[in-house]
Amino acid sequence: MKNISLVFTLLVGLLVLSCGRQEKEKSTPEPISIDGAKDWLKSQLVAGRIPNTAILDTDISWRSAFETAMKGPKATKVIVLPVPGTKEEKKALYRQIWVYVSEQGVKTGRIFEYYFNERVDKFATLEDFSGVIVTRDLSGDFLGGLNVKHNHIEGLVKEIEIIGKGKESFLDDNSGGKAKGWFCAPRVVCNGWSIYIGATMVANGDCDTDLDCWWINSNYLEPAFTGYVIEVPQYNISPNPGPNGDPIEGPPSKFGYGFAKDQCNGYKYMLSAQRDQGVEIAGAYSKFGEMIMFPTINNERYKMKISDRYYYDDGRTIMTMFVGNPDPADPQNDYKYKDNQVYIEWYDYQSRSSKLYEITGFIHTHPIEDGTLPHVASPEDQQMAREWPQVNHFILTEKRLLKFDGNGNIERITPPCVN
Amino acid sequence: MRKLILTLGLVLVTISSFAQSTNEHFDKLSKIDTLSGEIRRTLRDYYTECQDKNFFHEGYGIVKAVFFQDTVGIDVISLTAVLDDRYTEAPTPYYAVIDGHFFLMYRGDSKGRIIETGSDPILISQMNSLLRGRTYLRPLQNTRYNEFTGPDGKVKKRPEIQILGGNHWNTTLFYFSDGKLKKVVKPV
Repeated sequence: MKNISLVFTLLVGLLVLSCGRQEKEKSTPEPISIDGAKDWLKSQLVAGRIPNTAILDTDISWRSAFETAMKGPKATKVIVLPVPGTKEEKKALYRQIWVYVSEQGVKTGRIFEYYFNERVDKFATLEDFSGVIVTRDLSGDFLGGLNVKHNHIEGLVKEIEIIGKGKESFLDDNSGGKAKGWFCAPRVVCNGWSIYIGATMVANGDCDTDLDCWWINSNYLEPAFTGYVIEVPQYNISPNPGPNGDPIEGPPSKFGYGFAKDQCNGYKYMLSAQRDQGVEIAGAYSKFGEMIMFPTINNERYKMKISDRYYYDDGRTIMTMFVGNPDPADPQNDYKYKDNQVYIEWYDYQSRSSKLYEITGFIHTHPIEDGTLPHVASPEDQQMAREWPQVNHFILTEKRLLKFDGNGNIERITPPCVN
Repeated sequence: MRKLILTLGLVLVTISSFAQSTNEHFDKLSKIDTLSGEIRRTLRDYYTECQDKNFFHEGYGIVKAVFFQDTVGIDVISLTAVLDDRYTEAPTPYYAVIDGHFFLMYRGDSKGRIIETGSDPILISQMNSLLRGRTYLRPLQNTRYNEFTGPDGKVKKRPEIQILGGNHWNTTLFYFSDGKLKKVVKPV
């Protein structure tokens, strides 16, 4: 029974995605009871925030409702309302509704759905679960999901696609893309964690990296399993580094870096990010051919700004950029840097270390649109090249890779991966 | 059809005839009063666009106008919003006033780059006087430092860097043919 807390923990983490949207209402924090949850759900129904009366009238197994406490210092009380599956459903399914008072003192409701990989008896426990756990708000809108195999989290799902009548499939979150107002977190959220799920919760394993699991919704970002609530905008965060400590490859996002081990993939990521986000994308070439793409927070449709520091949503520094100046009179500097060399220092929070990249060039994208000059260096582009002569400067469009200088001279480069 | 009056080549060739309109207090400055209606409309509309798109703030802002012929001989005016006194880095004696809005006029090479005429302290002083109250004054350049907390919890302090690319000041190129505006594009 020592396992109980952890499984429950997972659900807590999932559920606490607090921040309900329309189903939230300000209230004074107060102990919530099963009857209180019932009354509150009724009020949400009256207010039109629950579209289906069947949830209250027939779906919830009120006699099986129970109350428990979330993991975390506050041990927030939560009411769990089981919603048994039906034979009509194509996939074996188990549902629960959780009602609790969030960290903000807001009564919140969440629907958890457990989709089994294989059809199982509807009374099966969740002690050894393989499938997908999906979280929805009370309106039924998808909030997020986890891929789970034998109680081990394998990754996230970012949205549900309806394929045929009543059949749902889950799209793996490989891109960190936006889905219904959500940006999912890393592909693998809880590497090495063992988590049990379900109404009968069992757990084992050491969960000592609580802050590595994040769920994001339109208002808040919460670390799973802790119940902490951090107010952040609705944007992606960068993944943690790969097993060998390298940044994970992928395109940049508003608050996340992009990285590619080779330039062709880098070009691909930059152009896809430009298409997806509708802003210019800026990046840098490393001495060893890697490409580091800057978060796009500063960029707009026809302009970009490279900053010397970027931050995750939670305030941690992603990376800094600086110029080597081995000045013995400057106590903040360091002799290991080369004079006038541009560096990017990328911070690895998993190993509590940083990686240093020597930068040989800057690159940014131009959109090809009517009324623009995509294959010309703008006045600011030229000024950038004049102010940073120690590196090369490039423009990337859907059709060309161009090298330019501070005088507006431009030269077409034809690597095999750019048309 | 006669060649467009607008090219600053012509403007400059005939500049001496404009000198008479120069304010006596600004003997280094020359006000251009002979722009065609098409060019005046172009400049005025651009100023309005800059206001609408918030490139100007609190009533401050002027326009830099570079007149040039591109590599195939087409007459082009490059207009850019100027919010502060960075015009002192490339002073020009030529300016125009349209509907009360100030435009600094330059001659450019075939890529639209300003052909600089040197830095004359008196000219700069007169430009400052002419444009007083129309632009912000930039602060003196001071290195700024930022602190970063690394994954090891240590704080590092480094000079601040920012690099701009693209089109931050609404630079717009207006192509003319036979004195008529034919095409408008923006570098990005």
